[in-house]
Amino acid sequence: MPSLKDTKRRITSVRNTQKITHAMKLVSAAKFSRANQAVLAARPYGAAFDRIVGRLAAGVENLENLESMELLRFVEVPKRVLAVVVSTDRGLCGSLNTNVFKAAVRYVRENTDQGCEVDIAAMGKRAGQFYRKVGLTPMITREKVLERPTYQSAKAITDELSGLFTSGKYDRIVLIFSEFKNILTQTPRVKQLLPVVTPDFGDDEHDTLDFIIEPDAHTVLEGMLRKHVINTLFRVLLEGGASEHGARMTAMDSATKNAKEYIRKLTLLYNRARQAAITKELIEIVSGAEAV
Amino acid sequence: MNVELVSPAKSLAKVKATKLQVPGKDGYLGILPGHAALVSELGLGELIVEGEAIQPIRLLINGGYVEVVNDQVIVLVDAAEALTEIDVARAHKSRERALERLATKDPAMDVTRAQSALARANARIAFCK
Repeated sequence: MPSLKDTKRRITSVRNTQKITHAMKLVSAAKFSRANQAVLAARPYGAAFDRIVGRLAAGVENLENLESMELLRFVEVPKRVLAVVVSTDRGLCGSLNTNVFKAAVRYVRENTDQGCEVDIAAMGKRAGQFYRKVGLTPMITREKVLERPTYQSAKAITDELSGLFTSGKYDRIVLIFSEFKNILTQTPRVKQLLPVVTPDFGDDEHDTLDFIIEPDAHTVLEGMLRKHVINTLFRVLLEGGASEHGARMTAMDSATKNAKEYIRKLTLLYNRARQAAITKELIEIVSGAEAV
Repeated sequence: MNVELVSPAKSLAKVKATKLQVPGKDGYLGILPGHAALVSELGLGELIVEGEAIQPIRLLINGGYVEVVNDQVIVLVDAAEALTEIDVARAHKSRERALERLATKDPAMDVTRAQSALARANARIAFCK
């Protein structure tokens, strides 16, 4: 049985840890609400954007030349694929990153089995560390992508990725990231970034309007495709940020609860040991007195 | 007409307006109630929204789209700055930097980038006057 002093020291240590995890939970909660607000604030743009594209596509008749746009260059059997793995910079957020890496490893394996080459772009410090550990050199490494992402930073990354795609270096670019469902659930997802998956223009509920289009339909649609790619990445980054803080909050909450439970057990142990010591001393005194 | 101003990061304004001016790619567009259906790319310049019940909104925008359908106007902007957000001194500095870069005969210099930096700086300075 550990000595009284040892148990006491452990209780203090666990209590200190609990204080830290509790503080981290509060910090994450604050950061989460900010990240969540950013996600919500970005929604009107996406909605308005989709609305315009839908109406425009319905209103413009000759969309045949759509195939000529380089961001839509579709290859039936891609030879070279770039997987962009989006992770956090810091740990202590439960299994968030691990799940993303698992999904990434699975994706890479499935595609290599089909005879296609997969390169990695590691976004976030943890992804870099992970690939260094498994002995792979990512094509691109970037850090701090989830820390207050801005449209400009998303644009910079997209420009780099689009360049690799349009130059023909890669036939497909996918994002592997954790999708933010709600504060308790974040699921890893694979989403194709390039070639652009054309949204379903099928619904004819939009009135076919006679649009004046400046400068012309092709240019506008092509420009909007480019924006669509940036916006897709921007949303992934925003959601990634919300996921990170949400996951950390839950992880720290359960750590705090664990610490509480552990303290309870240790206190029990401590009290038992203390009681045993008292009993022992009493027995010693009594038997000493009897011997006299 | 209803005007909705949105940037990727947030919704900027949603107002009833009587007049809207946006910088089209090839020159300014004025939009009044009853305008025909329109989609246009936007360039660099000043956006002005005026209405009866609102304070006029003036923003310097750079790139985006405007859509007009049945007096519903959506303006999607990539970047927008209000008068108070612009640092004129910085704009002057970046103007000089861009001019310097354009003056050098270095073949490694990115002309388009320098030119757009110059255009941005000029627009900022003009906007603040």
